[in-house]
Amino acid sequence: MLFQGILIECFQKINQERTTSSVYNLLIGKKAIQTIQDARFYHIADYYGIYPDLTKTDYYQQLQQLLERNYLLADDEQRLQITKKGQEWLTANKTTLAGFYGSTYKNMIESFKQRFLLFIQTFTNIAKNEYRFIPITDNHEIEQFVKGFYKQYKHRSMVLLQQLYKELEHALSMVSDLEASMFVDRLTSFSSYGSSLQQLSQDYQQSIPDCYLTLQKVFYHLLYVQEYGEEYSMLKLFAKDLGTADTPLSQTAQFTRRLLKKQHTFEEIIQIRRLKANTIQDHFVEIAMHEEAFPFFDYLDSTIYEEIKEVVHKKQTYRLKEIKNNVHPDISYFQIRLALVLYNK
Amino acid sequence: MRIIHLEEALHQHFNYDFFRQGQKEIISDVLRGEDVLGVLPTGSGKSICYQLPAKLLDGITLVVSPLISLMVDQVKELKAASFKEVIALNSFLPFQEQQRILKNLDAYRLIYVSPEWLQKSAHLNYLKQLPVKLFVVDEAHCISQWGHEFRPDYQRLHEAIAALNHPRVLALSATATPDVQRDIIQSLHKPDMKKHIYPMDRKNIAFCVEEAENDQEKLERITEIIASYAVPTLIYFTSRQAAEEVALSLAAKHPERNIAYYHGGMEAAERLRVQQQFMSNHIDIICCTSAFGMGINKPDIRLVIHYHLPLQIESYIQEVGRAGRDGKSSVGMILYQKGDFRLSANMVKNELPAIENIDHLVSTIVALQRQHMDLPSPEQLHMLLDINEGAARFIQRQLQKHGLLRDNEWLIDEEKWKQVRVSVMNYLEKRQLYKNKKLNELYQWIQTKNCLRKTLYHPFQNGFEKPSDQCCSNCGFDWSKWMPSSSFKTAEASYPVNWRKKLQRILHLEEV
Repeated sequence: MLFQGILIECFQKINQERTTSSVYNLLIGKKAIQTIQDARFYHIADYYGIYPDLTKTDYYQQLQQLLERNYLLADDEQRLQITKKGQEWLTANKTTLAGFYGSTYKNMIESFKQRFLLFIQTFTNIAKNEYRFIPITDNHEIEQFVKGFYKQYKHRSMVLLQQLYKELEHALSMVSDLEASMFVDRLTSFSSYGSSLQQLSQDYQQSIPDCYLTLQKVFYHLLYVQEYGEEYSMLKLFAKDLGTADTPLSQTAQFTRRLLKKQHTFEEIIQIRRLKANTIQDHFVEIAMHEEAFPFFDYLDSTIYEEIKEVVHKKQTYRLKEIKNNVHPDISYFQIRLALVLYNK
Repeated sequence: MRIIHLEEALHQHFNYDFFRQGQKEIISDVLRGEDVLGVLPTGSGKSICYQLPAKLLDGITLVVSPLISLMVDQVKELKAASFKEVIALNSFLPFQEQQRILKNLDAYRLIYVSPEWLQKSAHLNYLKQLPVKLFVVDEAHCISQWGHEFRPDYQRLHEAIAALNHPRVLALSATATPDVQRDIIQSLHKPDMKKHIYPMDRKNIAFCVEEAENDQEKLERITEIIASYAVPTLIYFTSRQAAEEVALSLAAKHPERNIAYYHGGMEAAERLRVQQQFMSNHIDIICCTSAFGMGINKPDIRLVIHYHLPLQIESYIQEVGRAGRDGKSSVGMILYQKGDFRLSANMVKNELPAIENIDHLVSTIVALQRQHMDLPSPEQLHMLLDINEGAARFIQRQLQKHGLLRDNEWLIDEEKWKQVRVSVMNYLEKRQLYKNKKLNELYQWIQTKNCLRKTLYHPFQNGFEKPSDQCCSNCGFDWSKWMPSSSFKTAEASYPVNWRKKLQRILHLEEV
């Protein structure tokens, strides 16, 4: 129960301070400021964006099962908390959940995966002189990448495949045999188009989400070993030039940022953009997270910051409402959010 | 000389040795510069009728196609077959990707577009700068209100044809009754179109209708059938959930068979895996919705079972027509129970919006405008209102017609809506009646006591070819006399379980 285990852990970590949809947003890697902030605050960044295809229906269905089977419990406000049974499960199975690096590789994994898969499909086909096949992806950049590879190495396809085998054999020896086997069955090649998730689910008697996440985990593992190991020259090539940079600001926040740079005040920006104050505040928090030089103390003075910091310490919480209830009534939610960004810098 | 030349070209470009019925006649006329209407049965290779001219004409062939998934599949297949100068343009392309393509449009020979995409004047301006030599209207029955898949945007194609300075036009369909054919010619403003109409009956498909008491009995019946016939099989459903459930329960009962499901709710890459494994016989039974099959050229599908019926005869003909494209004996089986009609009637209802949906939309847009909020894109309408895509398209078209929407921009005006509301409502009722009539036709057909083959093709043509094997369940179809050869080897016993061995095999290192 890999997927459900991850859900249990997430709800343990957020400790009833966030809604159920916040965990959903985390898993699909929503680029909203709140989600990115939550991932850091609650130390669940490893799960950020690990399941971009997760549908809301599937998510709530899994939660329902966890509630029915008493791993989770809903409180009066419909927030989920972990039960004793859930806690025990987590203690016993913690290690099986390790191995995700969601936040670290969030901008790399999809392209890495597709480059890797299209490479194998292309080179196993041309090694057999088969040039007619339907590529596993039609993403233009990925096609160009593999094309470049092809031009350079087309006469040495067997050498490349041997090298890739060596690297994969080595890397996959570090994961369980089941994980390795599932990963290999998924590959698209000359001899097989690769199993669908439904087929993996039948062959390995695991749920579709668990199969999906197992495959993801192996890809994170490959990204990890190529970064820290020496002997992975091919895998390194697949990861080459894939930025690890943070997600850029949303378009609308960029617009606000430009106005801010032109020394417009908060009120002027509201006027110019004809947006609600709340929206502009969201933009400010987003900009604050991205920019080292954000003028935090234009919006909160140091006594306010200290006061908020103290409440966070004392109450051990990042929950905005709870912080708000324990600080001076004049301190706004906006100020609390900015203070939390600063606190975590 | 020309005939020999064409066959050589066919071989050179597509690696086929001969033309199928109708292809050469249509292609010759197209190359001669005539406007052509071609009605060819499902599975007869309609697309070659423009793909070969696209290779031979000195200029660009533009194909209007109603289904994005179909377009994308065709492009993939052509590329795999080394026809590289081909592209599909539709509203779902990421903006930058689209810009990149638009700037290099002259690099392509064959351009697929959706009718909605073509409606934008900016897009048409790009096309106007190109030497478009052939304008193809695929699935041309979508032009006609009396066609089963009426697409209002198709009725404006004559404008695009004129804007492109009247390239020759080729309209193609697999299901066009004489009425629909007249509509096509009229709507395209091409009265002199040359007609090539071929009969659509398939002599190698036998029809078999069986009644079941309930879903349980349907499932049992399918279990029995697939136990006796290890042949490539499609089972059609109208609901995604039913397709999944039946696939899983059949798989549990038949662990020796490879059974998968396929529907539009799956991610594109997953769909591709299932489809390609079916092509290569790694999967032998697919439980699917109507999303499966368009553009699939598997010649040896032997059995097409309908667990649920589609909503009109034309769709049934298209779906069952995926069987036996190689000409060998195949069966179309229909399982139905009394409750199915109600289910279908409900689906028909959901294909059109309720007038309240439009009221709600108008007030939502007005409210958003007042608050200076971002307006939703008209293309996201179905999500906004939580209605079916067909229903959303209906609303779009009606708003366009009455000037409340133009080029994907809202021009909503409450007063105006009040004025046109009645006429929209009347039209809505008319469509509802028409769709119900089509549904009744289909259910009358499956309950007929007469020959199923004769009744099925009757609205489209006079007479039909003598069946090459059995005819239908009303003419005494007998399962025990149907003996297709099995195309499957028994599962490989020596399949390596060790992942290292599997990986070596995949990377061609097993001999090392």
